[in-house]
Amino acid sequence: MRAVWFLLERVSSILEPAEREAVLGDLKEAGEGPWQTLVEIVGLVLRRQAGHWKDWRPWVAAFGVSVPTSFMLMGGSVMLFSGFVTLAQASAARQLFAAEVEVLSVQTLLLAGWSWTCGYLVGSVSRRTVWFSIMAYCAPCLFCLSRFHIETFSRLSLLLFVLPLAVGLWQGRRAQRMGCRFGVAVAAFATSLAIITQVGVTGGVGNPSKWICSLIQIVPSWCLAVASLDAAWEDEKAERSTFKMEQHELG
Amino acid sequence: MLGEFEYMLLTAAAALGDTAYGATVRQEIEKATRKNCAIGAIYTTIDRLEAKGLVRTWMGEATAQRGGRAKRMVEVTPAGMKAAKEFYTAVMRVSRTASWAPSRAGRPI
Repeated sequence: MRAVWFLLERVSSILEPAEREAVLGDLKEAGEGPWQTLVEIVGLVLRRQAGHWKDWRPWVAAFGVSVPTSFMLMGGSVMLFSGFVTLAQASAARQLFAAEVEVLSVQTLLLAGWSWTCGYLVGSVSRRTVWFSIMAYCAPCLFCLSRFHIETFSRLSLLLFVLPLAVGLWQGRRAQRMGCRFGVAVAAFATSLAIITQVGVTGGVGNPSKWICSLIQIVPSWCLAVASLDAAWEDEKAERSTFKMEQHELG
Repeated sequence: MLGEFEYMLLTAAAALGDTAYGATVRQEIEKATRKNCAIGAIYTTIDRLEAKGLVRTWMGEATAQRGGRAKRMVEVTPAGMKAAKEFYTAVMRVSRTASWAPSRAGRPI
């Protein structure tokens, strides 16, 4: 019976606090036993979760962002890890070049920024279905981890992006809205890192396919910037209409 | 146009008046339909009706009978009453010639 109460506690915590209060009270008043209460609560939670999927946002977050970017982020992680391995070998052979260290540092920052913006985007777009977006990130990772066979590389080389992604997800889910200045600054910073990486790697205009990869990396940050600008514009519009109404009332 | 369950919930809440909240609305619907009604169906329908402006809800007082937990009180708005009346009229109109509809004497034909 303790297990049922524990489960009931866990499952009902998914509901909004006010709703949990009202529903548990109703079930207590109706004299339902713990099992029936659990069944009813699970039913309500499932209905609520299903309701969230009527919106387009969870679909975009899970299948439009999480799944494709998980593969790309794993690719970025392995490339960065191979860069570190090369650097370690070069430094062992006393052929360490400052330029290589510089490029690798920028690439590290770029991967961290890319992961963070992906996480923030997914977290802010799908607050109530973030658990599904997390699963959409985990499934490709588990698939690739099970098939990863590079003897000199650790399997963890696939997952260098996980920490900044998790931080981004957590912050995106909690934050009400990203400020427009901060949003644009993040996007500009990510863009400049992408340009520096490409110019640093190729020493010129470089390979178009690498430029395309870099552009894909900065898409999430520009999505966030556009969303923050749009929100700021909406605020300004609302303020203007309030001001006009006040003036009309005074007139 | 309302759904069948939405109409039942509106009617039950209107009949209960000041004592309309999750548990009593559920009891009223179960009594009328003679079927079990999931609490999840009640709450999701209340939310939908509230979004349409057909009911108004607020958190009421807690009682010992409920383990000290608050009630979510429900009140049908004028728009809700109008929508329920329209649904009822439509059902009555469409059922007029149905074989199961009561005759003028009050018995099924």
